Amino acid sequence: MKFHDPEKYEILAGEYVLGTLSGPARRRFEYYLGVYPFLRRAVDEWSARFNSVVERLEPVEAPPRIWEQICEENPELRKRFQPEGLWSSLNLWRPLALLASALAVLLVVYLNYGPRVPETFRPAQVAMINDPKAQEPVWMLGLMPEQKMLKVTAMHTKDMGPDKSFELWMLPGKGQEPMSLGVLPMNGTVMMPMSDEKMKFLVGSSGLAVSLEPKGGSPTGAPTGPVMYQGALYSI
Amino acid sequence: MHPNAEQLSRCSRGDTGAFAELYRGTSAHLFALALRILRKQEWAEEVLQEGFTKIWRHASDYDSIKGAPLTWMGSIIRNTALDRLRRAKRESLFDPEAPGQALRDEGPGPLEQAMQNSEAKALRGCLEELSKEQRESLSLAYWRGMTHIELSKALAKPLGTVKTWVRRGLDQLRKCLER
Repeated sequence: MKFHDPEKYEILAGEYVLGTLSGPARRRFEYYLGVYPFLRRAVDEWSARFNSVVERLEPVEAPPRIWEQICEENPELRKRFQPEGLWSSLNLWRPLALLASALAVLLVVYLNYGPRVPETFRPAQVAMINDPKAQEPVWMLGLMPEQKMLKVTAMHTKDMGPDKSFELWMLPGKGQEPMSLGVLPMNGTVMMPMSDEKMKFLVGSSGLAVSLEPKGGSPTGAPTGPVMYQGALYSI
Repeated sequence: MHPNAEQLSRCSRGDTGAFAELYRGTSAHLFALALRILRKQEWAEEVLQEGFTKIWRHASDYDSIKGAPLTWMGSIIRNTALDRLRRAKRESLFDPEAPGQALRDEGPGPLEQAMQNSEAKALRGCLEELSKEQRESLSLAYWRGMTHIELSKALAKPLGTVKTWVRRGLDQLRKCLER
């Protein structure tokens, strides 16, 4: 029997790891692998020899979506890194909130001293959605309670491909699910109608977040992609 | 203990934070491996995802006897990648446009070039002692997941000849490494 001759079983183990052993010979080998510990050891040794090449390969950064998908697939990881992890990471954004509030002040100045607008068209609350890396505003939002409209102006938007959309979410407060406010425009200004319920929440909302979603917005009604930007509404 | 080994042992106790650290520290190397074997971004992404799920679920199988932690994870990624290649080969049987050509459109991947670290140095030196044909067969089998039959087609040599190249190559390699 081949498996008792080290010369032979070592080669078979090498072929098993390489993958050249196929068909019935491979299945037979796998059977004996469960029977003889020395075969398992030979396989582990070959595997360690060959796969050490990985250390010398030039690393290639994997796209972030892979990590998201791994978490999505494994309940323990999803629990830890997705629902709360994603949305409670707001704390990390504190320094940005300062920048956002500074910009909001500028916005107030603009809205009050810029072109004259009838009183009822003035927003009551404003928000800036900023790009933390580029440090520039991506969208400017104004909430108009009279019209029950959210006025959204696209500024420095970044195209993420034809099959992606940015969706705006309101974070109503502790323990409550994010609520969709709609898909954001990539350019120009649009008026997004807000229901009474949304208006009620928006007034007391703790924050806004923008996630990357499939074209047209999240298919599930809850955010499915990574949070790309955040912001908060300020009363003026 | 190697930091990755410590992370793996924490993973086996369900420590999700350790898994995130492990992913951050090793995913770029393992993604490079998947890309190198599959040569297709989309497949490499699938394989990295599937491979890391296996690493998370089977972290307790790691043992230092199986080599460095990265090497062990590399074997999981390579096996997952080879499964993906085999599936592609099966699927291409039904696709008249793709008669398996993609698998031998390039020369052999230079296994030996990838090896310069201390662990892999010995292997590199020993590969150099093999004949060109032996080295080429091992390299195609490792990087392209070729079986004897595929090697025989790719190298245009009789089946018996390539089998002998592979077996003698492995035998000499092992003896050289044990010297």
